[in-house]
Amino acid sequence: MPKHNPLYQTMITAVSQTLENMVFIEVTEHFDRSYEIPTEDLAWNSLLVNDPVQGEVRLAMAKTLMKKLTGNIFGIDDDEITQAQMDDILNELLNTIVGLFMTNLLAHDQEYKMGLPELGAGELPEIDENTIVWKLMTDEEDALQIFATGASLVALKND
Amino acid sequence: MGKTVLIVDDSNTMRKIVSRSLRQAGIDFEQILEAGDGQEALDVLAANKVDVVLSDINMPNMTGLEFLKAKAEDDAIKDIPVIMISTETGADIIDEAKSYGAKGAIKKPFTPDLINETLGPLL
Repeated sequence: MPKHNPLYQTMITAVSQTLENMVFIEVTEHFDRSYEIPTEDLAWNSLLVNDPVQGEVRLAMAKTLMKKLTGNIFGIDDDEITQAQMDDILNELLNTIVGLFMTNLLAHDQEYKMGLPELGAGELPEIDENTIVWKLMTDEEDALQIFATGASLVALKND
Repeated sequence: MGKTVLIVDDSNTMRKIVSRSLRQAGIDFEQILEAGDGQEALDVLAANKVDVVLSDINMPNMTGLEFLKAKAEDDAIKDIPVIMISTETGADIIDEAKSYGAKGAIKKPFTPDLINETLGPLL
């Protein structure tokens, strides 16, 4: 496994722990770094980090994965799953991932402020030089991606 | 006799996740009750015998802290133990919750082991 900088590794740990403990699936780095989730199968949301650094974190996954997670959590069949249930799961996951990520990045007990998750629509925003992308997949090879953007956010332990 | 737990969270999804985590932790509650905010939780406590409450902090209508304060003023339910569940990191808010009677706090995402460790002594 390649050695990553602390920020990169902290996010992988946050995503792994969140998905393992909340929805009971394991996550690893995607074997194909060039893989992109097709737009027609894309679901994503975003959340602002306001303090002590500023930035945004986005979670993107295939709608098929979102449906699978929803069915598992609610114990229902595919045809009973609602869009609201899937959106709620995406938001809970991002909220928890960012909370864990910030807790582990910041010095002990340092407080942080973050906003509420907001659902995105259509294609993901363009990435710039202050964006870091994590390409991950579940043990069933369903893809998910995380983006952290914002100069002061990605500068945290990014050495 | 089987135990009853009340899960308080404005997110139906989070209530389901907590409920599933309790089963994963091997804690066999006879009854799992749910409430969407602090006021609903007070109503459930007034109408049911509950052994332990797991409550979120940030909720609309009545927050977890407001729920704790109201519960502490009601002799009939004030001794029911409450564990807070939240992404909140501030020691202040957890200390405040404990000052209103919370028995502990679990930070999301929680493992079945952590649930066992926290809830075990209360049951």
